[in-house]
Amino acid sequence: MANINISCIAIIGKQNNPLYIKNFNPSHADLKYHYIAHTSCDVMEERAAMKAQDMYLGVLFSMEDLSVYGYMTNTKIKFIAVLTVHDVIIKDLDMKNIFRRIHAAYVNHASNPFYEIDSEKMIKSKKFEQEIDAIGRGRALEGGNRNSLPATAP
Amino acid sequence: MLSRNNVSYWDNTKGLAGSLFYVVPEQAAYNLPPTRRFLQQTNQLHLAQQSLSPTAPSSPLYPDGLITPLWIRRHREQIPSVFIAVVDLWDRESIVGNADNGQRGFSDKGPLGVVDPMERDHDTSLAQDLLERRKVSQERGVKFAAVVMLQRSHMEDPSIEDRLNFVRKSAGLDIKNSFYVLPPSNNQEISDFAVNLQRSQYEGSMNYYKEQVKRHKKKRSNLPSTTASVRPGQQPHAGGSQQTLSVQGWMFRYDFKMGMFSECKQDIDNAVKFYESAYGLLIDMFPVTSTITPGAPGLQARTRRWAEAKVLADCLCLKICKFHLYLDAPSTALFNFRRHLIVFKAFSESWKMGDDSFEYWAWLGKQYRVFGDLLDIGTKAGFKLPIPSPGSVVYGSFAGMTEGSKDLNKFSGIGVGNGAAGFGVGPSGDAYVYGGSVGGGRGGGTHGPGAGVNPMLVLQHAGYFYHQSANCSVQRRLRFEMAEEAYPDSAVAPVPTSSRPYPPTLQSMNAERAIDHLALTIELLTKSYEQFKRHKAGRMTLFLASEIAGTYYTAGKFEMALKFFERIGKTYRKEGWNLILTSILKWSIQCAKELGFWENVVEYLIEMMSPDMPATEAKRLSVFDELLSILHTKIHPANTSVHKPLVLPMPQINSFVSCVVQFQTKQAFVASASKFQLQLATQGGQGALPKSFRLSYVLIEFSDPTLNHRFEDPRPLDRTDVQGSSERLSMKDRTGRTVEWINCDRCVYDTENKAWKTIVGLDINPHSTLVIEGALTPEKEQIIQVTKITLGVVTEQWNIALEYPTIECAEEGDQAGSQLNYMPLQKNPPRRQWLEVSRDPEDASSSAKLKFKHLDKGAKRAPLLRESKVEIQTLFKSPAYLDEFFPVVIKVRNGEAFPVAMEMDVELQPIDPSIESLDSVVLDPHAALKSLSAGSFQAAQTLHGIHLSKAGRPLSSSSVVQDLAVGEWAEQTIFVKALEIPTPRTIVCKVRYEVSLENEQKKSSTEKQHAFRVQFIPPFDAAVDYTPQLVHVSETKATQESETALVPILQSNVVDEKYGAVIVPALTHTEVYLMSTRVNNEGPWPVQVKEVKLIIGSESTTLSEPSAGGRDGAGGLGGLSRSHSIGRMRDRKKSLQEVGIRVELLDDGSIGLDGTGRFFEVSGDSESNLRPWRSGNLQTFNHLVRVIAADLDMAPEHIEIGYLRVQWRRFEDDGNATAPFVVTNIPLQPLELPKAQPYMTVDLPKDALVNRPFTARYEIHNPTGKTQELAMTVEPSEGMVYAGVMQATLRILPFANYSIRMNCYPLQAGLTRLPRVKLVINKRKPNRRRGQTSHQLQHPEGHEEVLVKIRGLTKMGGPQNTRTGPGETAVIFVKPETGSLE
Repeated sequence: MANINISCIAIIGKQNNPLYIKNFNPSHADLKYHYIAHTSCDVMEERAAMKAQDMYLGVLFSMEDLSVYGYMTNTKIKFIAVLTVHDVIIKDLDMKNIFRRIHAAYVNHASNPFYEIDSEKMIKSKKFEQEIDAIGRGRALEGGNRNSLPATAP
Repeated sequence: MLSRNNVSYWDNTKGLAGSLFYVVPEQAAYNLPPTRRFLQQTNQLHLAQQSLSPTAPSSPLYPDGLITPLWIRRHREQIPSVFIAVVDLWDRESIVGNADNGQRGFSDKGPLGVVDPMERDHDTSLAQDLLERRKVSQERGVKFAAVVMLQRSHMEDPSIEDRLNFVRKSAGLDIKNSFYVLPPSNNQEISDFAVNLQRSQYEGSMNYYKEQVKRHKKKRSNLPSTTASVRPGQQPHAGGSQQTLSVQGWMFRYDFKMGMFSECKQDIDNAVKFYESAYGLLIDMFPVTSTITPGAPGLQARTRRWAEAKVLADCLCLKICKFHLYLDAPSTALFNFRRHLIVFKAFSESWKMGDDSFEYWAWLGKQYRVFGDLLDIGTKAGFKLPIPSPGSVVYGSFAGMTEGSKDLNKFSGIGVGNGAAGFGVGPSGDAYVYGGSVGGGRGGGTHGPGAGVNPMLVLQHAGYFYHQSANCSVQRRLRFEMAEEAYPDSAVAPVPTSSRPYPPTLQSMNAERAIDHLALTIELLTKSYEQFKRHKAGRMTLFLASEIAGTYYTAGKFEMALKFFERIGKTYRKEGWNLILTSILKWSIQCAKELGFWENVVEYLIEMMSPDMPATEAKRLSVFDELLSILHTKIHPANTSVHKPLVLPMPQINSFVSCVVQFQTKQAFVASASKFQLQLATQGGQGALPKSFRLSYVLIEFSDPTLNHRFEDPRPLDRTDVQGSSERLSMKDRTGRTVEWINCDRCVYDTENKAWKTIVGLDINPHSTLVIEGALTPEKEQIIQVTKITLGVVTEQWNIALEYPTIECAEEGDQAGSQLNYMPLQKNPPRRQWLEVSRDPEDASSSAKLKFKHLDKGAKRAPLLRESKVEIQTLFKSPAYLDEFFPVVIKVRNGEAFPVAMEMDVELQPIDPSIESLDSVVLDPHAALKSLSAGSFQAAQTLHGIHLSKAGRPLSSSSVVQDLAVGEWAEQTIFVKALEIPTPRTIVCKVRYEVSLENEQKKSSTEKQHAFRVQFIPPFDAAVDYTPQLVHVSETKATQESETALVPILQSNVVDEKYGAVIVPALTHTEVYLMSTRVNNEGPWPVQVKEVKLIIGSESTTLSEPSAGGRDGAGGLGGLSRSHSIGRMRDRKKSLQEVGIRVELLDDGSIGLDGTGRFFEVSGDSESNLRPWRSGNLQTFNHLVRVIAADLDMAPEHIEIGYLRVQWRRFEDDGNATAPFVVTNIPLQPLELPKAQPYMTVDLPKDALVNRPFTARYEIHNPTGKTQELAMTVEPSEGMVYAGVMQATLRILPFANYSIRMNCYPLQAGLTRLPRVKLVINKRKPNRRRGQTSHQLQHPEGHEEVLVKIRGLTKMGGPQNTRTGPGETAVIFVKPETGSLE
């Protein structure tokens, strides 16, 4: 996990609408990550069509020093993690764990009865932001993420 | 042959599969270039016009060049691996103009084989030529072969065989694989021949290159060691320029050549090995000092050789990458490529051409571009890009390389951190060690939890590289611009300054000036765009398009840029990527401003005002201010002229204000006002709209244009006074949003605008909802729909209309394609709300409350019906009674403007559609009653086509339809007869009439419905008490049937004259009951009762009542729960006959007791004089009934005595009773017949006195045919003393009685309990006999206690004559002692 440097976490709805985009790396503008998140939609859909069993889609593409990883839930919610990679091997297991945490955070959020799942609006939730922030900064959430799935070997 | 010469850059075919050779056709005069040895031998070294060795002074490489493309060209085009001479065999016929043509010297060829000397001459020279060529080829190791082409004439020549043999032998050619004869043939044969020829020569070719590789390997190994040959002393005296090629350079040369030859051999594996080795050696020459040749200085930057070496390295790298791709090792290829970039980045920094120089970026861009080209060509030629699959492959990394490259003095090639990468300079310093792990992509890699991917080594398609290249191009331009700023003069060489110690050279500056960077960027981006398009990455193309647009913007091509922005904005808008959209809008605004497209600027600014566009508040404010200043400032550059009206379809862009119109009700009526509300709500929360935005007008367009509404606000911007006289209310809701309500239902039709118009203030305030309520009054029948809402801003120069078409219209209007442009939110319209104004009636001025009420969905369009002006009223006195003909007066008023003829239908809706209803609705109750009694009555629930005529006029039976005059009332009374079920009935009356509308010729039928409910309740309620009478009671009554009443228990056989049945006297059991029936008028209406009669059930069949003529003798009964009683009756009739029970009426209770206590005779009175029964009146009827049971054992528990038939009608107070008498049958509770089991009666004195003993006589009857064994216990009572047997067992014979006398002594006054006599039947014996095992199981003792009941007891606590329950004790009223009273 140590070598994973998350620059951005993005969550995209099933209509390819952005739900949440968080930039952790000040070296690029938010706009860049918005573009990247948007462009990943195609790649993810193509990738997901090829193999349906795993939600983790691996590295989608690399652009300059940014590598984009994707994960798509069964409800076609897309999670994107943009890593700033210089030259390291990124273990899939690590990435999967990150995505599981994001997934858990999202599920937590979506379980809120007041959250309209199909509203296509950006997610605004303090709790959710905290959780994503913790994931993005590579630390455990204070008090732990109660819903995080246990990390199992694939 | 040449056609197969498809030389392309990408040629990944191996062996015999593809085109085998690169074929170079040459003229017949062509000779192989002489070998160096030959030249040396012949001392013609100066003739070596093209010696490419750096040793040769004439060579371009002299003195220290490495290799030249000429060398490659030579081996590609001049020195073959197989030399094939294609020659013609001389033919006589080819000598044109010769008279002897076609004539041999000898007319015939003799068997001796005499040879034609001419032919021989030619053949010899041919052979000689071939021989020469063969020799030259052999010197070079080139395989030589000859193809002799024969002419058609040769085919018939018998000597041809010999000639060919001669030529072959003379030239010293082997018959196998060296000498071919091609007879004349067609194209197909020739091409087959060519293929075969190539096949056969393939091995020779391979051998040639193998030899070449071997030769150079040998040469290379002969070189002195690099460490040993530090070229001592060479450098000083050589004077720099005369420096000869180092050993390392020679090594490189040989490696490169071997690589080249291996490539020619199509031995890619080895080729890549050699090339990589060469690459390593070459790279080592760039740093300041070489590691391979210790101490040797690197190439001087910016020299010719340095530049050449750089290009060479680039080419080599590309070659290596390509071969890795050939070998299907994309990661390795990418690895090499990236490594190259990293290495040269480090070098560039050392050359002071780091990433702040345009030269570096130019170079980098070129690298990316070329690599992209390579991939592009490769993929087009069938190369498959890898798909990175998670969890499978471990790729190598550049671990340590970047770190190593930073320290250039130590940088030694690439090998500093070679551990993880598995490559680098080996200890021997001569070659790369090909790392196993780097090639992981080739071998499959390691699986497992540790699997991972170095994302930098995932090969992607060319689009990414073009994009990278474009990025480089952008950087290059920026750097160049900086440089040009510093050194603007193209004639003066840049001079180093303190801030820029290493300026670019003048040459490179000028070269750079010639380049159109932006065009290059656009070209690259376009290339990338095409790549992504081919890979179906639509969104990536959008991204690239935005970059292209940005580049166009930079290039000043604003129009192009704007076009791009507009195109791509749509997708981002649709998918809600608002940050991107904002950026695009900002760019667009800039472009539009530059172009002076102010309409566009306004459009973009309006969209920018949407709260969905993320922006800071200051930015929002500036957008808002800019918009206002454009719109309202006259001196703004935008406002040099009056602009065209600008129409913005708001659903296609993000809007700052939402706009909804709805009607209050789903239906409206012609000529009556129908309310609608327009809600303008700012989007987003607080601060989304910085200031109030004033609209000039709001236009609501309906499907009927005559109803259009236009609200105007003519105030100039600086005036804020309240506008218009409309009523305004405002409040804040929970979220702090201001809700303003304006009543605008008083609009005036404005002929100029052709709309209903009113003047009203139209400020859209921040965080508020403006609700304008209006009303429209349509004039014809139609479906009204809101087609469009337009918010307009009109200033001197501007006329902007923000259009909100309602969704249905928009979808109808343009086709499916453009629907995609709608914003997602507007596809799901919010719930319809209606702002309701509720006022306190007392204090209307201040405390009007505004509240949003949800309306039901879907009433976006209001179907408008013609309102029927007919009024329907109904008059009736609810509740109605069951069974009666209930009059309902229906009054219809013609409210239309002209007389109409109306028809009315009346329908009585069934209570339960699944059950046939017996309810009926009639016009004439008397007639109905007659038909009822005649049995021809059909219950009808509907009445059709009642012609309505003026009130008071008699019902006309004629079919002439009379028109009802305007404003007149028609009246019609209908009678509803409901049976049985006391529930409300729904009655629907429909009035139909036809009117001709003013403007239309055709008549339109109009219908008005009126439904009402009538509650039906039963008119009477009856309760019966049965009191058993002892025989002596019947004796006292002494009626005409007294002799039967006096029949003793044991009577001799008698024949019943009525039934003709023989009653077995021994078993006959007679009981006499007094039926006391109380009939209660339940409803609120008085009724007149004509007759009340008890109909004994057994008689009902024989009775011929006028009203009971229905089917089954009960159809007209109309009693409560008719079907129930019918069933019961049948049941009873059967059972009564079977069990021989007879019910007789002994005493007719035609005597009634009314509420006043006066007796009066019901029957016989004249109808009009009947006294009404008021509501709640109670009448009691007494009947004496005798029940004769043939066998009590067989008798049922309950016996239906019959029912009470009441003939009655509703009493009208005015005495005008028009309704006929109707019959209601009131069913009576069944009589509970005593069971055939022992019972007890008690005979008590009327009263008793305290302290006076009295005798109570208990009589125990055994009506059964069995002897009963009874256990008697006496329980003491508080108020009485009893002395006697407390416990006894009795045995009573069948049909016998047993008397018990008890002498009691009352102790207290009042109602006092007698000592309780408890009799228990011991049923042990019958149980056992019948074998009731279940009973025995439950009662192991085997006997059941059955309490003997006492009949006809006065209950304790109540004077009313109710029957006693089980276990009751008898009570007696004990009077106080007379003495004590006194």
